[in-house]
Amino acid sequence: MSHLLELQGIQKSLGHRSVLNGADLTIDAGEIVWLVGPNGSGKTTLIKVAAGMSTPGKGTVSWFGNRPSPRLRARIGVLLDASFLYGELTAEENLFYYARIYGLQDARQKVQEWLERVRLHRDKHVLVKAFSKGMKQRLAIARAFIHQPEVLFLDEPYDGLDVASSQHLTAWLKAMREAGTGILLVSHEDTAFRGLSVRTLKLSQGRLIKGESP
Amino acid sequence: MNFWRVLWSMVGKDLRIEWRTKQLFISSLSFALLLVFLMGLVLYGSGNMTRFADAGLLWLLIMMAGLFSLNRQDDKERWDGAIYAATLVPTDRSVLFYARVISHLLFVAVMEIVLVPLYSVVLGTSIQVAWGPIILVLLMGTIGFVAVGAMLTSLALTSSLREILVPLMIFPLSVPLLLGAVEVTSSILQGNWGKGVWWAVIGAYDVLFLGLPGLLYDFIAEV
Repeated sequence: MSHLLELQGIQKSLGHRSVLNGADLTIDAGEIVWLVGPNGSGKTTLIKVAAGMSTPGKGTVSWFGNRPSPRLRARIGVLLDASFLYGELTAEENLFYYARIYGLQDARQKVQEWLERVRLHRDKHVLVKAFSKGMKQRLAIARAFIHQPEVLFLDEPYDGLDVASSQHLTAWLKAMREAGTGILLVSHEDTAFRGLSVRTLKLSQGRLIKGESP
Repeated sequence: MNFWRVLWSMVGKDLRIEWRTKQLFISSLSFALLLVFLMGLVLYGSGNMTRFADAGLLWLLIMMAGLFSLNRQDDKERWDGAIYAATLVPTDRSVLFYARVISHLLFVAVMEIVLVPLYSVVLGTSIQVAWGPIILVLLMGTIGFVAVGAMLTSLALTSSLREILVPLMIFPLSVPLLLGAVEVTSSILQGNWGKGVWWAVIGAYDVLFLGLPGLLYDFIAEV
C-alpha cells in the first residue's frame, strides 16, 4: 500500500544556500509527524516542497503514490505562517470562497459549521483585516481544514492561539488522525499536543533524522 | 469543470472586493481623469492636432491608467499571502492568470466607458462618428494590454521592485500592440477601418499573450 506522502532525496537551495540536502520522509494514514529543528533549518521549505508549492532542485515528491497533480491538490490542506486570507472579505466570505474553490457540495453548511468550530460565528460578517492575530489564525485553520484533507501540512498552527483554541486544535488533530489523515506538523509549542502520539523527526543539515518525542 | 468553477470564484472574489472598497476604480479613474484634463489644458486651442496624435494620446491614456490599476490590483493578493493559495488550487494554476485578465479587463473596460467619451469632449475628437469599430479596437487592444500586464505582474509578484519592473517591461513589450491600436484607431477616426495588417497585429497579441502564460503558468507560480 502506498504512503500518503513520500519524499525521496529532496534537495533545495534558496539562493546560494543549500537548505535541504537529501531529505527523505514518509507519512502514512493516521500518522502525525512532528518536524523539529532550529530556526532557519529548512522546516518551512520542506513543508512547501512537500505541499507542492515549491519545486525541489532534486528528489521526488509523491502524494497517495502518485506525482502531485491538480486533482490531488484537493486532497491536501496547508497552513503556513501566512493565513492566505483576504483582508477585504469577511470571515464568512473567505471561507465560502475557499469552499467554492474546493468544490464542496454543501459549501454554505460547511462554512457555518467551521465558523462555529473556530468560534467565529458571531464575527462572521466582520472584515478579516479587523481580526486579531489569534482570530485570523483560527480562521486560517478553518480554511485549511474545511475540505477535509487527507494530508495536512501545518507550520506553527498554534501560533497566536489562546489556551482554549489550542486545546480545540489538538482535539481536531486527534480526531483527524483517527479518521486516517496524515499530518506533517512544525511547531515550537510541544506542550500543546503532548497528548498526541507523534513521530518526531529532526531536520539537521538538510536531512531528516529521528528525533525525541515531546 | 473545476477550472471554470475556480475561475469564476476568483473573478467573483475580485469583483466583490472592488465593489466593497472601490480603491482600484477610484484611484485609477482619478489618475486618468487628471491626465485627460492636463492633456486638454496643454493642448487647448491646438486645432491642428492630427487624428494620429488623437489616437496616440487616447491609447497612452488607457495604458497609463491600466498600468496604474494593474500595479494596485495585486495589493489585495499580497495581503497575508493570499496569492500563495493559488498554488494550492485543485485545477491548473493558469486559472489565476485568466482570473486576473478577466477581472482587470472588466475594471479597464468600465474605466474606458467613462474616459473615452470624456476624452472626445475635452480634446474635441469626433469619436461619435464610428462607435462600432472604436469599441472593437478598444476591446481587442485592451485584452492584449491586460494579458501582457497580467503576465508581467505575475512574474514580478514577489519582487520588491515590481512597481518599477512592470512599467519598465510592459511598455517595450507592448510597442507593436500600441502601434497597431494607434494606427487602427486613427484610421477609424478618419472614417475607415484601417489596414488589415494592424488588426492582425492586435489579434496576434491577444492570442499570443492569452495563450502563452496559460501554458507556462505552473513555472511562474512557484513560491
